[in-house]
Amino acid sequence: MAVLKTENLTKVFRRSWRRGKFTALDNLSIEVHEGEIFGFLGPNGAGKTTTIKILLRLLSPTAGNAFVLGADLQADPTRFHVGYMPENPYFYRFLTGEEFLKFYARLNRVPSKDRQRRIDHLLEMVGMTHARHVPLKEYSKGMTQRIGLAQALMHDPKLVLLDEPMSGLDPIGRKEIRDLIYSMKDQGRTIFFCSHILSDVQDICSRVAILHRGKLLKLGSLDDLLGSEKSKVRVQLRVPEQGKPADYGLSGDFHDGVLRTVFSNTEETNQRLFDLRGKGVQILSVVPERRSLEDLFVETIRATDPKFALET
Amino acid sequence: MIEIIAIGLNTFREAIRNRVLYLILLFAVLLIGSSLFLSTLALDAGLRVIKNLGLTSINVFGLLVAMFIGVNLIPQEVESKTIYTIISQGVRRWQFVLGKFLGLVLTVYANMLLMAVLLLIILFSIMGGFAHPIMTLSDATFFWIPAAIFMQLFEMLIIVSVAILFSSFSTPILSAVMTLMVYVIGNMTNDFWDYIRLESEKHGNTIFTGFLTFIWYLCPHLDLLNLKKLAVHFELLPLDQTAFPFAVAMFHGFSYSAIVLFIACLAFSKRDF
Repeated sequence: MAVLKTENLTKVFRRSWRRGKFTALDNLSIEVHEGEIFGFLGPNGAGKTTTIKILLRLLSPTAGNAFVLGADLQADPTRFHVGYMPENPYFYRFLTGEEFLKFYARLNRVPSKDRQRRIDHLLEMVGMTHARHVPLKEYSKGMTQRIGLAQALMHDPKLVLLDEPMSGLDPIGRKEIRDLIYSMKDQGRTIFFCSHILSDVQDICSRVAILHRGKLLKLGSLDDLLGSEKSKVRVQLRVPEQGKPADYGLSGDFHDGVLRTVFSNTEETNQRLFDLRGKGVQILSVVPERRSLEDLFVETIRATDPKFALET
Repeated sequence: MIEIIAIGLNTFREAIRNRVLYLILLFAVLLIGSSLFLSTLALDAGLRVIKNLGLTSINVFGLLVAMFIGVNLIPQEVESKTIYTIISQGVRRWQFVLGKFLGLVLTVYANMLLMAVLLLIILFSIMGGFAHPIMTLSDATFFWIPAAIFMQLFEMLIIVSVAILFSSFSTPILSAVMTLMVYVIGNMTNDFWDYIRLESEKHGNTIFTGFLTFIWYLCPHLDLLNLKKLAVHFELLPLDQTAFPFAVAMFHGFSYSAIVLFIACLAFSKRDF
């Protein structure tokens, strides 16, 4: 079931009469499936924020429709509930972490008898119990992101939109947020993950969409897009003494009895390594040379727009 | 309704922890407190100055709180993106606007109440209680001062709704300037009307006088809610001027702010972020 679905979603902004119109989003059609972590990628100005704003009903689309859990956003906004954590949020400075969550609990009509329990649970989940009485203005960036995640989960949404949740975080902070995202997925939530940090997306997303200048350029699972089955494999082998690589039908960089070579795909690698082991060749390492998401991203954007200079 | 109250209380909580508020309040307290020194003047004149200064302070500092905190309320939420999180959780935009209005009204009223208590304490201590020997029957200070403050609450209702209206679609600085303009013009509607009448008598009904009349109708009639003259100079005024149209003034305060809020909700719900 599609938790989130957009059909030809289009947004055209009117600028001044001299500069005409600007199409920020052009016929975007995507589906996000239940329980997946979906990466939404694109350089600055690609239309990511516009899409998120439409999904949050902060912008109305010029054309097209968006559905969350089957409900049309425009036609039936009251039924629309989604968790959202903005990029670089600046939450209420003078509230403490607990007061902040209490506010969202009240907004979501969490009954007063359950309110404290829910807040305690969320604080514990995001690891912020120790800072519950500290004003938000004293929070570090990582703490702000974590309390932001807690507010996004207050109403127990099925879909959570995360806009650059790891931007500006140190490696430990990024790992903590990554773990939280995994735990949200384990709870059965669907995550719509919008990020510039492609290595993070590659690590945690199962499917991605790449957007550029409002147009959808790629959509699919990472395996399909990066071609895991057909990717090359880098292998290091130790050839038996007095033997030469050519004796085994191998070629490559050969020094001190160690051969470094590349097989063209996983199937060939399996077959050849099986044969070579039988002939006494020692396998030192096997590293699949998978194309990175960054390579795919850059190739995709450049193929569409060669003059484009990456801003990420 | 729960959403409006939650946003209102949150706004109030945020505002009362804001240093700007304490700064404004400090100035107000200093100003009202300094009127104590004026009690050394001839008692009757001194009292009038204290009342005048006190009521003006409550009014002006109420306006300052509404302006400095009010005009920032909505733009700040947009800038910090907290409004995104609120709207995403099913809160309607009109509920957000009304919540912000409620929070600001609570903040302004809390400040005015503090200043009012201070003024009444000063008056009470100078006059030596309710039965001062020089207090005449007509100079019912402890009726007219609270009454004047009560009417100021309605005046602030209008000012707060105007500040919220402007902040729902404009920048904070522009909103502050516009709110101040509405306050100034609103407090001069009587003089404004006299001027329009004078112009009409001199040049007949022109497009200019028509435009001015339109503005006169558009502006809130804050001097309807101004009881200061009565409260300060009660015993000096002719009897026909002391019959104050409380009900009309209160209705004006309520209805004007309701209409302004309705427009603010409409403007905010159409806005793209």
